[in-house]
Amino acid sequence: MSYSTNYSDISDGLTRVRARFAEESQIRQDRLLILVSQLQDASAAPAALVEIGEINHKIAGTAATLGYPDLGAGAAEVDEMIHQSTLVNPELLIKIDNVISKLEDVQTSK
Amino acid sequence: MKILAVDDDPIILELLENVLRVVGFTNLTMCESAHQALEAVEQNSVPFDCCLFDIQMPEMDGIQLASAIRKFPQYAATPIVMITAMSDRSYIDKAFIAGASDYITKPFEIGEVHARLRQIQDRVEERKQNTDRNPIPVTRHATATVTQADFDTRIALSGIDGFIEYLALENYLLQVSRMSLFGMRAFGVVVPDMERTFQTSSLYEYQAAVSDFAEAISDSLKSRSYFAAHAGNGEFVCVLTDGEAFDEADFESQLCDTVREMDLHFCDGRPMTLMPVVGRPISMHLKSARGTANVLTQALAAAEEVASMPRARKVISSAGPLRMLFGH
Repeated sequence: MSYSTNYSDISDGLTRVRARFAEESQIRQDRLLILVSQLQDASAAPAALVEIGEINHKIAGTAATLGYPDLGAGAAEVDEMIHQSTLVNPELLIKIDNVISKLEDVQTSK
Repeated sequence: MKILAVDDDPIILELLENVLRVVGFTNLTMCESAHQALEAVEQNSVPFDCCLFDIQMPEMDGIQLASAIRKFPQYAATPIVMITAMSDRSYIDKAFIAGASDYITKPFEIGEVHARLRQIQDRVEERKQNTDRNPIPVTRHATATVTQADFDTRIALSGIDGFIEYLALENYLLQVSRMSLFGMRAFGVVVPDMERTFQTSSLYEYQAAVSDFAEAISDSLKSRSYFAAHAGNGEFVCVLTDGEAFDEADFESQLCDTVREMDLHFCDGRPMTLMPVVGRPISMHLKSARGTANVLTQALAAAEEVASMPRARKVISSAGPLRMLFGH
């Protein structure tokens, strides 16, 4: 098998995936805003926190590869914080807010 | 190469598909859940050559999926690469215990995925072209006389607690070395005269003996956290991951006691007079990535040095049937 790589093909493919990631960013941003509001409700907060972790986990897995390293790093921090503790503290909220802002940047940059 | 990729994030699947297709891997099956993947495995009469699994997925995660896939006999030696954002040591350990061959951390570099898949492609092609060296015990008749190639083959002893393939052990160390190897130690175990003793034996008898010694190592290490692998011939390498102290003399004594209790015999009833020796442990906390790749070789060399000393020639004389554990 030939291992020659046509990087223009990769670039074309990445452009398509980036477009899909940008579309998904809008959905994820909207969902994160809802989930953050649920963190104030003691009964809804645990499930909301788990879902916030899952969304950030997915963002952390793809963002850097698609050219958004800051978003990926921020999402990884949120994912790690939720993985380490289920306590909602101001630092976590600031980091989630940072991710939400960067998701908006992805949509405006597409 | 026929690839099965599983991730619950469709964006990752699309990204992987693009990354793989562009270097010529076009025979792809993409699944969004472990259950879909298991269906694909059951429905495909020609097995996949390579599996790429995410870890964190709902219902059944990638570690459980790897464990389930390994139960299919045709997937006993198939490379399983975890592509995951789970970078904790505990996840890496669980993945390799479940049968993972390699581990790529997300976000991945496209070049890294290409490089790893090319290595796997080479291994898959080599395995297909040279079935004599395939560790799956279906390619040669068990009654065939053991050959030099058989002695050189690293047998996959994944049915024995703690044992993984040698290449998987190398990959495990490379992955863990990116975080911390602090407290980890590698040591070799050599059964002197294995090749000379078994040169006229059947493949089955030799492989059964390798399995027996691996069982003895596993049994003697049962109170520890470790990975071990067969390194070919009568050689094994072990990596202690729990950071606790290790005295090779004490362990060798314990291992020899275990072997005596196993009461090993050849198929014709002769008692087996081989005893393993243990090399000094190699501390791994200061190893670089390159050093990590060499540490297994160093551990084996240390055990070979012990094996070459006259004191290593020990004899057991008790009687009983040869334990035929191969194939478990």
